[in-house]
Amino acid sequence: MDRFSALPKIILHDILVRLPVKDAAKTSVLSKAWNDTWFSFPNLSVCSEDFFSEDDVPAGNRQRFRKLDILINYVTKRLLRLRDQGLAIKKFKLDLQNLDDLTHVSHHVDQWIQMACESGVQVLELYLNDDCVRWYELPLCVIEAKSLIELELLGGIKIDQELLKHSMKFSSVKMLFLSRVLFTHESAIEYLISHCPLTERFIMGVCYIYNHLSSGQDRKGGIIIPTGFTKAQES
Amino acid sequence: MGSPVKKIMLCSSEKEIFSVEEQVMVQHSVIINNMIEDGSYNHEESKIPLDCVDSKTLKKVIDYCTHHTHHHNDNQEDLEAWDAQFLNVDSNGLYDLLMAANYLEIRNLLDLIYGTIKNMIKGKKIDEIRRIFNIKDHGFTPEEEEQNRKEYPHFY
Repeated sequence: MDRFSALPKIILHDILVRLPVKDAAKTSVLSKAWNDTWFSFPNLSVCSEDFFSEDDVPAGNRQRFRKLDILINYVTKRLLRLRDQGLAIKKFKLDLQNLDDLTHVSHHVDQWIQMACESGVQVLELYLNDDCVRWYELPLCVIEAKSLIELELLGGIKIDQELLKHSMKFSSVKMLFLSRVLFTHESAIEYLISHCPLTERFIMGVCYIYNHLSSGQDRKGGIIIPTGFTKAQES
Repeated sequence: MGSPVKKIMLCSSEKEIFSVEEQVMVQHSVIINNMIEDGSYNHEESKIPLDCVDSKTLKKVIDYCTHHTHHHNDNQEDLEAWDAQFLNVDSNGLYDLLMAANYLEIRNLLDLIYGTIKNMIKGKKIDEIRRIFNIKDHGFTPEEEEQNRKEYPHFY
């Protein structure tokens, strides 16, 4: 075997961490040894734009579903390989901003987040499409994940009031970044802040609060918190 | 009058002894810094055995640390030019330096090497990277290799 392929995994991972995601993914087909390295790399960063753009394939098109399947298989395979080797999933970044309809994917997203949370995820970044019509409901396992240090929820995610009533809340989160997140009740924000015991940085962009008085579906109504509002956690 | 420059002895895998300014190594190598700090290095008798670093590589590592200690005030461009010249080695030489820098925990040298390796991969096609890293046997079965080429044609 060539000398670089025989390097300790930890060194090879240090190399992968410095590469742009596409170049890092490329190393998986360099050789069997690099392939093993890739599938033990604990950072998983997925961007739907790398799989298809909004323009080249219209929604509902068969081609689009095929590409979506490739994305789903890819993420599932990476996460399963890490889990099956008993390795941690340190960082999981999922950017599905150009997916305008999560209907076919949301149960997969549930599974992926579940797997990451069970495998010691430390950094979780979720960027979903925010058309302010459909919201992805943050699963309970995220709030329960003891390993979680950084959480970024950027767009298209709903935090349900009921979720926060649960006894375990962001027990080790040091960095919390919320933007374009929908809260089902006004008090949820205050409640959330008071239940992040270790939070050092809390950044909140424009978020939405479900307006019970307005008729019909979720609306942008209610309070809109201005972008850049930052609150340092008081001890 | 200033005291004489303190030296330490480093011993390569070929048992060749290199005498280096203590300050140079302490500043750059986490491992040597720790040895000096915790008193496990005795200036009268000790030499630090580096069994996994050959003389040629050790000489280069010492060159790097010495230059960066004495020239850290140089302008950025000069330092970068020096670094580029320093790392103008073949992949075997780069590998040896990587192992040595990793062993001695010389962070800025490691970062420099990682940057070079990054450029050996970034934006390049698979066959080219295989050539650069001297990967002669990729270890995939012909079927796996064909499958990869079919699945990720843009990589090749």
